[in-house]
Amino acid sequence: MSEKFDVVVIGAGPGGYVSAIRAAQMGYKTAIIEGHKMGGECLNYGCIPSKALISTGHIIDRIHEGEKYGLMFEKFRVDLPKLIDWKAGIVKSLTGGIAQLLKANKVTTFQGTGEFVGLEKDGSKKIKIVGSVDSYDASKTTGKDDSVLAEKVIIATGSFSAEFPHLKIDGKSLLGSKDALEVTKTPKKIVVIGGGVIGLELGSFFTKLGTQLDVVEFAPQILTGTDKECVDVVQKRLKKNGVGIHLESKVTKVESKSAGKTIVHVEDKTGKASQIECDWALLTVGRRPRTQNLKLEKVGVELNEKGFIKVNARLETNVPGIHAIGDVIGGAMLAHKASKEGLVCVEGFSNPQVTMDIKALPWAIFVDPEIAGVGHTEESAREAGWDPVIGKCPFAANGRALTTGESAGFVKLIADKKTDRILGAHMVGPEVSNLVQEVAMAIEMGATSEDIARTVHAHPTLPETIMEAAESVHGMAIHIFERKTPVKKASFELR
Amino acid sequence: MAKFVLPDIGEGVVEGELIQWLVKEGDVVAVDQAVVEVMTDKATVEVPSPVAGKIKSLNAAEGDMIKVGQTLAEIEAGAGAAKVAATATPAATATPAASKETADSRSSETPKAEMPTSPTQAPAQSHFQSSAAPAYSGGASLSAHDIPAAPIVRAMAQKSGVDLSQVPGTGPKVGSQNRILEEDLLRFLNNGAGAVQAGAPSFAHSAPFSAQAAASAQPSSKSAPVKTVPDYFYRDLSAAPAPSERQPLRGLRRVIAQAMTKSKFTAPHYAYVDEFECSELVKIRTEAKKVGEQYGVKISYLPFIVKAVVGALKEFPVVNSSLEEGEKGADLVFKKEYNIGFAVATPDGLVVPVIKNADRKSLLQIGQEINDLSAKVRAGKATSEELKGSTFTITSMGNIGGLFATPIINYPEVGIMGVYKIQEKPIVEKGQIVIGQTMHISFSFDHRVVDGAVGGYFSNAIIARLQNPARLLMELV
Repeated sequence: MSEKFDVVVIGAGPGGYVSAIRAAQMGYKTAIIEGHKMGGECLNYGCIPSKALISTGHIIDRIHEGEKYGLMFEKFRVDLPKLIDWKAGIVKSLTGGIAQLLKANKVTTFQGTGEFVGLEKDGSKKIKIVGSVDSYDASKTTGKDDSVLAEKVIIATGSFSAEFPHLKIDGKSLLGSKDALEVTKTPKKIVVIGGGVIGLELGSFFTKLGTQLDVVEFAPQILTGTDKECVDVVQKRLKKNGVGIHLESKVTKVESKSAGKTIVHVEDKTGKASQIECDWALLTVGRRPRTQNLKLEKVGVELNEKGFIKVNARLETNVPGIHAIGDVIGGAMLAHKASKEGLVCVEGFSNPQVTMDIKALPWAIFVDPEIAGVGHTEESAREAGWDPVIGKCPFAANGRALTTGESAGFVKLIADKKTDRILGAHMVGPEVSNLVQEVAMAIEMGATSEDIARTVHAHPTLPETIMEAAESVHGMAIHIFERKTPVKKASFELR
Repeated sequence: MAKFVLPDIGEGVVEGELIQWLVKEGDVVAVDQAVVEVMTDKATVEVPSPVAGKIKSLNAAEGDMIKVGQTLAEIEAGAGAAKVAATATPAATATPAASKETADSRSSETPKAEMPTSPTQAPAQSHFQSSAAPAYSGGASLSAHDIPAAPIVRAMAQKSGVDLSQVPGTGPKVGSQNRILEEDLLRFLNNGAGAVQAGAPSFAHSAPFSAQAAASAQPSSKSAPVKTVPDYFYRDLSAAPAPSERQPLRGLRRVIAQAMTKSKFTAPHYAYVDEFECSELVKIRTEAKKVGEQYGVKISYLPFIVKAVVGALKEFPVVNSSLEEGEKGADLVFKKEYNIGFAVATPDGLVVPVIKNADRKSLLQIGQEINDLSAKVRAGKATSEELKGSTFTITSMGNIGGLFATPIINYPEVGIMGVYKIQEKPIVEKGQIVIGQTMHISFSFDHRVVDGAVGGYFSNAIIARLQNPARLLMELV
């Protein structure tokens, strides 16, 4: 007899474990099924380990430019295996922490790959837990076979690295992002196939170790979809660091010559072929929804044309009682989006009116320097019916940025001309991943750029740049010379 | 030149407030293009243009009240636009404040963390398509129609099925819109304009009768006091009937007559009656009485009832309001003081002394005041200050009897509560007939301000406190 739960979550990533804990807090009898490791892609192979390496990369950078600050290093070297160990330690403590939290909240954990068996007569869903198959590596065992019944199911199985028929990740000459995080020998030269977020974050890290990097991108811009002005700052720095950027080009073949010798065949838009020799190539050409092991056909859950699970704004699939959140439903593939969807999904169990209702989804790209954004761009604001005005302030006008040795970049604030409401922000520069949240809060609260301009910002800190950008919306920034005519602030008209 | 008038929107709507012009003078509009947003008491509607042409003039301003048939604008038909048959009838597209479908789903919904059972009959497809929620592909949206409100306010509105565009905001302005604050939403909900049921999940009173309470029943008004029969019942009936006696209406009697007329002809009254089991209240009052004696204060049930009323008024601020007519229309005035009047019968007539700031006084203090004020009123020594400023009134007939009455509101208040004697009654508890202690309570409310549902919930809120005095204790400040 299978044990019956109110809520069963499949997948213990940042969407799944958050949903499970919240469900348990709400008093539901909850179980979570994980086919690989607690924490999912984010904690094990994504956000966390990559950030551990990237922040170390920044330190390496500073050491290299140390002379500028009068810091003289004589025999500096990077012990890569030790760095990888340190990173593994962080991952271990975080994933262990999640297992503890689940346990403390009385969530029952099943190790194994969850697959649907079918619907019972009372409408509950039967799920088989296949312990003999690791959802990442079919040759491994994770637990023992079992089965559960669920009143409500939340599918949170995430996504996996996409491949091409002619480009298959083998972990030797062609690596996936997961493999790249475990490299213990500093490569001399690598090629990143796909100039998106993951490729550039990891690729940039290796350049800090002295690796020569080439990026091959099919689109006419790296970081497609990101504010062009922000990308230009990053691209300029990549080029300065000797990174070869091949836009509007594709990789036709990755040829493994011998250990540590790989030939990447590139073709540009004119059809001109070239070859790049490297230690190995890194394939980061997007991610695909992980639905393969779920046996969704047993319960009839529908997918869209791209293979993502179809849901409505309550995160409900077409089958009553089966919900899906996170990467597996598409949209922005961000851990915090998955977590938020999980919370809304669980909240919706007890109230039929609850739907996703967010005005802004902030994001950050940990390249050098960082890029972050939230809300509308100028173009998307116009499309949404607003009349956008821009306020911009460079970090070069910020004292704190100068004292930290990183003053490239700017904050660009987008507000509505008529109402002065803040619609979005896009920024590139030091610590912008930590700065973007102020604007996200402002957008959710329906604040105006004048609200930010009138809020006292501590000196000397980086957020002052956001305040100045907000002043600049009205043409009234102090620390940059305003060429545009000041626009009256709402409060000035009251007199 | 075509006159653009506010068309008959249907549902008996006769006027609406002009919320927003969607066009300006000189704009070229097409047939059926939305021209103006008008809010009626039922919905906000976008009124389309009946003709194609150029807007010559706008004849009303945002915020104006517009009557059906009133000219809103003048349109130069055909100007600047291809000639289109101008026969299109103006059919307004309405966005109902709460559609019937969602209202139904609300009322059937169970409170928090209650797991709804899966519909086993419903085929999978229809569920998806019938669901009110729009399709979702992940991400955020911020459209130019967005209403500025903080995340918590939006979440509360969503959960109570309220369309925020219907809620008047009072927060700081963003453009021409005021931010909607939490208190705006609560006011909207409490006014009954929104989804009262969904917004008030905890208002239903708990299981009516407890076996434990019934078992320990100790009737307080067990033996009725021996009444002496007044003389006038022993008139000599053989004598010829005296002629009717005529007295001019003076003093207190006249004041009462005027007040009652004013109330009954101004406020459309409706009555609401309930009965509840109150063994726990009887027990705690028995104990409280002993404590009171130590301070020389006679503790009746009234202090408890006053406190229960204050708690319920806080839950439903609209019952602590009054409707004030002014030259520019009516205002609902929400009182922030909890001044509870209680009716005292005197030889000259009914007088209502007031316990001021009852929310800030202890039960003992209220008991003392009731004693003092009653004595003063009966002696005709109450000051006018002591008889003014009540925001809600209680009238007790516990010492007279009766099942219940339908009291008249102490105008301009919007509600009055009648309390009656506690009596032993057989009640059914888990299929068994046991002896319980029950009390009737009745209310009259001004229906202009307090809807039936709100009145009912208000009554429930009082019962919840009196039935379970622990709740009263929890609210002590």
